[in-house]
Amino acid sequence: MKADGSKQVGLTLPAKPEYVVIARLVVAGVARQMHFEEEAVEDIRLATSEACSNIVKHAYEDKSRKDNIIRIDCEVREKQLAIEVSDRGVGLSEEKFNEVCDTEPTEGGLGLNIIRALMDEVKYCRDEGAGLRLTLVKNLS
Amino acid sequence: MDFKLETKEVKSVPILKVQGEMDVYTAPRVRSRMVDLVDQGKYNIIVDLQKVDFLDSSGLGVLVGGLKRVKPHKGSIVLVINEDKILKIFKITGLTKVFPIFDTEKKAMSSIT
Repeated sequence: MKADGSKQVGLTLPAKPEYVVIARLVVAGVARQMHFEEEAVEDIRLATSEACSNIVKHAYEDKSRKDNIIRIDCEVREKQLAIEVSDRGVGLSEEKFNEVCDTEPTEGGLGLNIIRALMDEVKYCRDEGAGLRLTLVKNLS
Repeated sequence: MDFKLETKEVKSVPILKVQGEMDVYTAPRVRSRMVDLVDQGKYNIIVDLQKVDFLDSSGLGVLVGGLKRVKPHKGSIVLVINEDKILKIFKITGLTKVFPIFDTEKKAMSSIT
């Protein structure tokens, strides 16, 4: 538990397609524990899946490396759930991120639009000397 | 629900039945099956998503990719969806305007034949 009373659940997964389902299971479990309605749980599950899939597809140049990871940190606040999804890779630049969000439907490029549509807040930043950090926030209604 | 992919043909129209979660891990299998069908000259394809309990942009991307492959042959990808949570993803991405969507296989078949 943090000083402000919020609780945290953290998880590190290999950045491989077959592990994204585990991220979905964990965030859905946390959301249900917080008594989110089932539709909101589905939104959180899908948004997290999109964030993890982006990492699997774009974050790491050498996809064969065993230390490629997805880090997920869920922060359970009084009336909202904040999910931070991060990596240690090269990923998308901020410009590219916005460009991807604005694209027409293609085989790629839909994921970030879905995240923005489903979550109440979406923050994106690149840490100095590290990968990208995407923070997804859903409010309890 | 375990991921499962089945293909059947009705009146020469292939129906791709997808079951389970269609995501970054499983969607490539759907892509591969669609590419095979197009290579066999099948340009009107029904994709039945009634038993899909999770779909993300990787799955949508495969469907959009399939559409791009059949369009030059004046073909179509027709979808069967009967779950609101799956339909919602098509609505928020604007893809309800791109794909004909029906709630039964019979209606989807009638739109093609």
